[in-house]
Amino acid sequence: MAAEAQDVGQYLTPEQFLSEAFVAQAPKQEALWLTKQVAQQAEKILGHAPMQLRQHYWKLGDKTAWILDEIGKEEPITAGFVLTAGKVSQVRIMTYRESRGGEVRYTAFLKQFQGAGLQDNTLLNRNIDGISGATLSVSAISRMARLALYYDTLSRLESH
Amino acid sequence: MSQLTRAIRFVRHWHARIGVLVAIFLLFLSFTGLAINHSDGLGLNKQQINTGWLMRWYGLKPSIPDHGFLFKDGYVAATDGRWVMDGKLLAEPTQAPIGAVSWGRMRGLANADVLYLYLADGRLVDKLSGAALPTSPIQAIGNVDGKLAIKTAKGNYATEDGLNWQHLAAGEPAWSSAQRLPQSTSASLRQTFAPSLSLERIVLDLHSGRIFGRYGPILMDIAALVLIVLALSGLWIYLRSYRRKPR
Repeated sequence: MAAEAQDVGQYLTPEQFLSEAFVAQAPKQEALWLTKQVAQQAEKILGHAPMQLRQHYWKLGDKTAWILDEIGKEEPITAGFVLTAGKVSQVRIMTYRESRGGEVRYTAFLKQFQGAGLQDNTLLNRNIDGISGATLSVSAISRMARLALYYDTLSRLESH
Repeated sequence: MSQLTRAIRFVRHWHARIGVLVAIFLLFLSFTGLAINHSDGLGLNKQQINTGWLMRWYGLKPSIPDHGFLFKDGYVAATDGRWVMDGKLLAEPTQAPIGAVSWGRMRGLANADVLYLYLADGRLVDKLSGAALPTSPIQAIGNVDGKLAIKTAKGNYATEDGLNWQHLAAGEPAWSSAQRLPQSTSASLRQTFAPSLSLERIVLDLHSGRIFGRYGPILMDIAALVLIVLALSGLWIYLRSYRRKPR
């Protein structure tokens, strides 16, 4: 039965993602605390309260890397986001656990996010074309991209 | 009366009777099919049903833990991939826990690959795995000098905040181990560990007939075959009547 099927696909480990993002040595891990105000904004982006109160990230110069989890339909999708100078430079699906919609891991879909930034209202500054049958996964990845961009803005403020 | 007329009458007669008989199946399949088609919009997968008689019908029984990890101001218990801390179901962990400790305002829960840090009120602070841990798998979790400690094949490590880890060269932490839960705690978990299924799963099983047991799908197959016969007989009746109409 479809509801019971669970086909977990791990496509990239955190170590592999970080070595792709930071070609030389990955920088030391940093942490962003989600204050009440930040958590409220994150909730606005995700449509639900963020899963944890502290978010890890890696930062080198104007580049940051984020590994986020978000539920597509029933299971969390783990995705890695690399942001450079406040824009998305790379998105990788690291673990996909849903039974349908795994097409979101293909480069043809993910490259739509390259160069995307955040508008004042925390929406992406471009439209992302969906994939038939993967609507919820596409939506989850868009939300994660918005969240990564928002967190990236905060990490820049923290470092100043 | 010609043979053809008799045949049309016979088909019409049975078409009507069988039609009435399977109408209930058709309605049933249509409603459940509509619900499945709009499952996401209706949030069927998010609604958990734990009605007693339905769970018994499915053959699901509550699996209440009698062991857990106790600390001075609370406990963690787990069974069937569900973890409970002080009576509150935790959303994140699924694998069997190897230990749980309390230090300061924080609670640390671990399985072999992930260390979860919670506030005492059940809010998840952080989830540490892979590069966020000094090394893994985690063999045990414990307390040392007011810090959280983990035991790994490469040695023991301690942390105050889950961000910075120190290798413990000396001193043996007090490792967490499973203990029998007090009777009252175990009894209070009956509701929390009651079996449940998503409404989507139940509607899918209704649609396919699986909820009625092993013969349910066969019953639905028969209903589908009868519907095919009805569609064909209806088409035949229509074409015959159409051809016989004066032009």
